[in-house]
Amino acid sequence: MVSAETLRRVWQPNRGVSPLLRQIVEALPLAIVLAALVMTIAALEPRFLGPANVNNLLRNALVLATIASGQMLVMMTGGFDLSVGAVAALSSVVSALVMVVLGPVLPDGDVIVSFAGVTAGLLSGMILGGINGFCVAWFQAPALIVTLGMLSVATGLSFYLTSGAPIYGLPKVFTDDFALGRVFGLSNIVLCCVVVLVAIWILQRHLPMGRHIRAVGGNLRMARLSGVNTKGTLLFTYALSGVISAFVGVLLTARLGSGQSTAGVDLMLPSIAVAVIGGVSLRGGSGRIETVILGGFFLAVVANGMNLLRLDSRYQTIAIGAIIILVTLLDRFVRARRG
Amino acid sequence: MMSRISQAGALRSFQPSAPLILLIALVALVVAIGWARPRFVHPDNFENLLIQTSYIYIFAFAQMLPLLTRGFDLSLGASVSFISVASALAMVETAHLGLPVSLFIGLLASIALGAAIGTTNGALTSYLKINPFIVTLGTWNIIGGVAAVVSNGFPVKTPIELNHVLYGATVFHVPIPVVISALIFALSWIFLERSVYGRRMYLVGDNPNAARTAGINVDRVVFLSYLMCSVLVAVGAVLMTARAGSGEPNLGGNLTLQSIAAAVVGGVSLRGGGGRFFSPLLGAALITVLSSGLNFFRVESYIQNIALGFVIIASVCVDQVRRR
Repeated sequence: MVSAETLRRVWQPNRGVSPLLRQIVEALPLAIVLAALVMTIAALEPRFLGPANVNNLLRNALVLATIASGQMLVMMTGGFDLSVGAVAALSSVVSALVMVVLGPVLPDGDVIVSFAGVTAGLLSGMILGGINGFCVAWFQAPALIVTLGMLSVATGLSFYLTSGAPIYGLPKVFTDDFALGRVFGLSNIVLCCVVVLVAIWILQRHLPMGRHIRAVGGNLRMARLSGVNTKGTLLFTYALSGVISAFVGVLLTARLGSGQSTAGVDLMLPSIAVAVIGGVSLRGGSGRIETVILGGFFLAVVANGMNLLRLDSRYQTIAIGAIIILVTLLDRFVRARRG
Repeated sequence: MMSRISQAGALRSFQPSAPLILLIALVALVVAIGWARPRFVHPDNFENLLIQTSYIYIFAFAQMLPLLTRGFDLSLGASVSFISVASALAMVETAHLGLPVSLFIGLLASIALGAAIGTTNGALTSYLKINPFIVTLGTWNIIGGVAAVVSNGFPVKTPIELNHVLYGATVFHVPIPVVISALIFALSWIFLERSVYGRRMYLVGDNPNAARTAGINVDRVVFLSYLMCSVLVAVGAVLMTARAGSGEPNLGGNLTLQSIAAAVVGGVSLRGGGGRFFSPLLGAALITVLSSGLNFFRVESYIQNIALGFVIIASVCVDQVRRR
């Protein structure tokens, strides 16, 4: 077994600055840009900071951050997960199908039916993510191609199961009580995302697996030599990314009120964009959930601002594409100057 | 010296038995489907298969070039859509200059746009050293967005003559798309196997450090691979536009996936420097036969997506096992 101390020394070398301070300094540029962006949009469009829009913004930002958190973990191991959107869609379809099938069997058990549907959806994500992880860990197949293949498989499956039509007739408990409910003024969907994000933070900071993920991405061989179960770690990471994507798919299902084979399919690009904006290294080994959440807010503010300023969604795709390239470019120059 | 290194590299990254297995698999697949559905091996259907293979082949070979230098092009599909729409618009706008002029301008525009896309991808990847995944993911969305904006989401009708010249016409009874693909195939043999530039591309993909030490301008070779890729994509896009009879904003839909699938199934390695000039052709033929065969059994297109995905995953896994 690896001692926590060894790994910490190898992967988080202490450079004489308090870790908290360094973290704040690293997140500062993004926070400043985000603040400037918020102020500019608020000045141009007063509705931006209205309560309805802020709620909307909060939900979009946290959903983005949630799906990006799985992507972040995969990227930290040195891979990519292109199947996140397709897995979310499949989970939406699977959970809705299970609810619709079980509904008549258990007429009084709406809660149980919803629970079973959600579990089935999460399970489908875990299985597909697990297959990704298995191929990457045991065959050392390139993550990009494996998850690209899985994207095709999951999309095909969800269209096959639905023939492209939405699945209606979900329990009211799920689509009304849960999706529209609020606790302390925050919608249940926002709270669910917060729970996942906190769990990822705990995983990253306080559990051995968090260190193992960083070690595997930093240097696979060295991680194996220092006793990390690298295959198990990879399998876990991809399966977790699948479960998180599936979870987002379930949340979207609740909000849409139906299971749809297109729910969340366009989340793949934003999930990578958010992770990249949030400073996750493309070479693996580094990434922090705190800055990824900031990245989620950044992208949500950009998209929301463009909506309010009545810019077509096509321009949003162009903008996100340009942002990804620019952020990576900027990052390269900053790092090059620091040496 | 140079050629000895690259030859050794090619021999190591490539085992002679693999393409033979693929060829046998291809023939077996054709025979099996033809046995169950005799119409599949009818000359008419064969011509269809040949034409379909030639389109996929062009994109698979285009994708192979960045793959050789350890990159890839995710923007391929969006480029096809954009070039299709933009060249159709160029033809429509210049229609008053007469047909030959407007066709010429349309073709020129598509090649120029292909070169521009390739220059962008190549410069960002090679000279600015950004991860090719991020670069082409970004340009994919930018190009796709621009295609949707300029076309407003609607097809742009092209002159019917374009269809006649680049789809309907034949040379010695061979359809034009097949002729052009055969030409590209011949040139690819000369380029990849008989030219210094092609061998450099293998060496750069096989071992960039060794290539640099050997005095090769690695950045320029990588840049060139993206440039050539996008120009080839432009050729394919024009041919597909001619077949469709209009500039289609969704023409490239599945092509990124299919091009990568065809290249990888054909034996092009994702770690760079692997694969021969015939690999994309083998892969394109296999994928075409597979999807056309599934059509003959009336398998839904959704299931075909699932099958395509599993074929891709299985082929990279097999590739890794073979390498050990």
